[in-house]
Amino acid sequence: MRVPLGWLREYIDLPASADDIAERLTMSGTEVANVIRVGSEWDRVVIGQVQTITPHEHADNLFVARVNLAREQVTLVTAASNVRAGDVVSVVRAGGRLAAGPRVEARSFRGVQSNGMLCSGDELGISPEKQTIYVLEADAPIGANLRDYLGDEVLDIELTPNRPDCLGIVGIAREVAALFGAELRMPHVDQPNDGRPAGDVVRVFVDDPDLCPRYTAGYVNGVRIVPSPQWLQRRLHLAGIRSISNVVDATNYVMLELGQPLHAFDADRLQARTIRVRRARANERLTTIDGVERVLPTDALVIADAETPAALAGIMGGSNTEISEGTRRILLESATFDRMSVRQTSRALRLVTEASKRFDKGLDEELPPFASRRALALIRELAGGSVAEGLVDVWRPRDALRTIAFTADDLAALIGNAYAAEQIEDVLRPLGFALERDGERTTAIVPSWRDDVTDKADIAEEVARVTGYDAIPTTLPRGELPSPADDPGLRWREVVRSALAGAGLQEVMTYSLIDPYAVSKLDAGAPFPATGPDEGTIPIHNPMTIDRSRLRTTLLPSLFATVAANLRYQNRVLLFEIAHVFLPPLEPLPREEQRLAIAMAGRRSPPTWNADTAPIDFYDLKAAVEAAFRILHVPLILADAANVPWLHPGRSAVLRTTGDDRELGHLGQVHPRVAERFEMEGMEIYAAELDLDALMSLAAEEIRVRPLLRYPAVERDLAIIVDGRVSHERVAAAVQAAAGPLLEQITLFDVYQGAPVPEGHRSLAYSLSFRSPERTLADDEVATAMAAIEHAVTAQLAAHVRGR
Amino acid sequence: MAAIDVALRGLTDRALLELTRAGDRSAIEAWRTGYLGRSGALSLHMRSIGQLPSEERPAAGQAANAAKDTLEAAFAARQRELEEQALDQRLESEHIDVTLPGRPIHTGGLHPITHTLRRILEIFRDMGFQVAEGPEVELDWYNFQALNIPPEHPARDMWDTFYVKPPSILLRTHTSPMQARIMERTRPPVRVVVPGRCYRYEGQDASHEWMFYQVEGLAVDKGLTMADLKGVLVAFARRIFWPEIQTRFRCDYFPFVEPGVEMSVQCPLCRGEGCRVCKTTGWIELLGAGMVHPRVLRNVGYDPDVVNGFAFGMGAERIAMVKHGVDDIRSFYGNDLRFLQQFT
Repeated sequence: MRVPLGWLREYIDLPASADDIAERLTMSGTEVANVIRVGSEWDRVVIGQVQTITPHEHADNLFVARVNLAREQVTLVTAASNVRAGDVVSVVRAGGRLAAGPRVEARSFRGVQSNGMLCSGDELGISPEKQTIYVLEADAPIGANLRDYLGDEVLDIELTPNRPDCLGIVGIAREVAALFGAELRMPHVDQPNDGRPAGDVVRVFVDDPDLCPRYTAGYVNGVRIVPSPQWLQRRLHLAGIRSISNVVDATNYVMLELGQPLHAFDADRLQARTIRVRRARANERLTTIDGVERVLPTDALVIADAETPAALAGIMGGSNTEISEGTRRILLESATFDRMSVRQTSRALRLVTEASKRFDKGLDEELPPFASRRALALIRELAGGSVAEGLVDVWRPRDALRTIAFTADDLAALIGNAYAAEQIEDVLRPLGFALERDGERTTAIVPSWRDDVTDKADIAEEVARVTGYDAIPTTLPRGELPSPADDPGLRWREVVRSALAGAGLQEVMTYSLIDPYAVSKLDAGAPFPATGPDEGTIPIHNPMTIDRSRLRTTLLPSLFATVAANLRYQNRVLLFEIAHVFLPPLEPLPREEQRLAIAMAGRRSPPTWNADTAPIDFYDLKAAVEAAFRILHVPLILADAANVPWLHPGRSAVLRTTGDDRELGHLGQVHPRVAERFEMEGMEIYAAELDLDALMSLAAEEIRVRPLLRYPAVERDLAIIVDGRVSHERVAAAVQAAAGPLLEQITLFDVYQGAPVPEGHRSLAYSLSFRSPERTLADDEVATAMAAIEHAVTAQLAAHVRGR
Repeated sequence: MAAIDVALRGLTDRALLELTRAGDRSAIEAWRTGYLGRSGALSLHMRSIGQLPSEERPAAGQAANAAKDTLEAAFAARQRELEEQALDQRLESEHIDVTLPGRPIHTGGLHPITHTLRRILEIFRDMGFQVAEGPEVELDWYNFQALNIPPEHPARDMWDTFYVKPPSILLRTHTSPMQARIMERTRPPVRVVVPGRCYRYEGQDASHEWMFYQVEGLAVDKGLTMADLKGVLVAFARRIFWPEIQTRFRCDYFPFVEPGVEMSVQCPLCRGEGCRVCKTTGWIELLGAGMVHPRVLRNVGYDPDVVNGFAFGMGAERIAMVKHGVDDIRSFYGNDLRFLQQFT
């Protein structure tokens, strides 16, 4: 909301500079986002009176004006055609300017020297007109500096939704009065009437009092619709409202002043001079004053005459009853509407107006008669006519005003700062609270416009904010600490994060919403493009874009997109993300599972003079996954995975751990067709995704150390030639089983294919370390074990030991 | 001088001269064999002493032993000298270019928001707060109604909301729903911080992002005051930024607190001098806070006449932005490695 200080001054003697007022308002909860200074940059802009205005002899469309500036006269050339002799205008003299930037210079237009410039209202920032010269009031002081006459400062205020009382300038004035200890002056509302009761002229029926708690109607006979005087137009302009005509401007002026929206109907166009406040009927239509014909939602509250809708209650009037030049009699509405109803209709029609912005916050039911009388006084002043006596007022007065009992100790206990009784009164009385004191106890009667104040805590806020939060001391809580309830999952997750970063992966964070086809892109066997959206992802009801319209059930699509984007600048990309996925069913709430996903592609090492130039392969990925398992002390078991749709069928594995059947996730090379769909055609991408919650639930909290063995180990090397489809893990397991407990460690140190190893076979070379916890091993004990190993691998795996 | 002395002197002089000419290990070994070996010149000389008259033998023997000591000492010195020379030569030949880049360690890194969240949580843990997390898909009840924001309340405009199933299921717009969830399942005292992802139906620009991380704080106990809230927040600001940082508290409105607070801090980028980021005010709005609204306490079965609480909520991105001079919030979830790797 915009508050010109020149207007604010009507209700309060300004106690400080604009900046100081803005600062105190902001600190107390009424945020002043900006102070707009009208005229602060005007230089040599003065008021002049046009003596003569004549067409330029040598130029069509130009005029030459002689302008009296009191102490001198100047000649000016203008293109505007609205200037008449005798008009009082604004002149930028040569060398002056209106705003930062180039100055106005004296220059010649086809032989006529122009010593400055006449200004439009838009150039001055005081009215919207761009094409015409702004003509001031006839009594403006000739020769005076324009800034002294029209300069102003405007507070640009961002209100919080709890303070609809501040949606009028008087509300802001009340705040300033309380903050600075100044006196508030309410505007005058009394005017003579013609003695004919309004109720004799107009009739009001409220069919839906739940949506319209109060409806008042005033009546004026014999108005003349003309433009408003300039002071009024300028005030509306500075406050951000367009001037229409005297009567409409009067209603808008009072809305800006008091926060109560009003609407003036052409009374002659209301059938039977009747107002009926009711819900819209099915398929009822109304053309609003913005010229749009609207089909009214059936629950919408309308202001109708005896038959048809004449306005959308609290939002916008209809063009059929609009004030026009020929209007002579007006019915003035000042009412209170249910905020939820206004909000719903405004949203349904996507129509937000100055009125709806106020009504949907909830307005004071006490305000409409006062606002109506205020507007009627202004209309009579601006448009003439005779005002009917009183108002038609349909209202079932609500309960008595709310009271809140409190003590100074109550406030101190909440705020942590002691406030004296006088200090509390000095805050609350200027804000409109009536106070009754009974010893320690004070009862505050909450003013009708402060529906937000319901509790002692609200009283405490009023006192604390007006006296300033900076006055509150800073202390630390002294109470006992809650009993510890450590969530191990939170700690393990951070441990995994650090381990993966330490293993060379960069953490990323990607959006939780994905497109409806993202998951089906992961199925290498499914058609692409997909024939329909994913069945298994939960849709967002009101997505911003189709790309972000589903809750993700896997981190992979976002991670692949991130890999693809980074491969444009990087030749190696190793990423991981830990985040929630959202698994159906939707109700009562989706199951949220923490996943860990890893993706890598490109060179194993950054390029440098001595780098490993090999590309990343499966075993780099496996090492990263192992790092996560190892840090949690969970043994990792991999097995060939069958039918993981996003993985290369020959390079994919399922993740498990010992003694547990659960599949924790998958890893492998991304299927080339899937890589292509994520714009990584021809790249080898390796990726893993696993259920981190499940993995962390297996984490070993306690680590038991084994004693270090004193006896020496005996080392033997062994190369086993075996069919290429027999896995290392099977060979190692057979070796370990045959060797028994004396085989302390088995390390694979070479894998070889090619001559002299037969086609389809490979040689797996192991280094074996035998040790006994009890004694130094004898050679024949080791020889026996080696023989057992050889026998076992020959018999069980159709393998043979190299060199035999 | 007796002939044998002359001979010994000659032998010694010759030996010392030859030793200086022996330029490598094999040459000096040959020299040692030639003079000090079993059949070397000095041994022969010593054996010849036996033929001398007995009265001359002791003196000749002494002289010979002295000569032997001299030659052995000279040998040892020469040997050390040659070893030193050889080492010097080897070291000289092993020169490397120290300016070549170090062999890379394949370091990864954590996301800047992870760094920021860890720092924030660490500070509050030190002040006795526990850490809890909650669901990102949330019930309207917890996200709004339990927080004193009924349906169609005008304050709902403060949070543009993604709905999953209107009106009951939505993407949480803040971490505040955990206030009610935590209070429902525990009794005071409560001191907890809640990090997590939040979502708002909001267009993106340099300072707005539809997905972000928030950290919610909640303390409920007998006798808690707004002064305690200020104390905790000032302590936080001093640790996350610097010890002398200025803080400012103003009244603000959030339906679930009363009184409501907004804390600003001296702009960390210009240290209060005024810059583009703080719009020349010298202040940065850092977080919203307040005393837990009595209706929120009643909604979870707490008695506001017995306990008070305070709550606060801050955006992790905003803190990361002002700490690191990040001028576009979209950088965080754009995941360009050239950005992310600056934090490792």
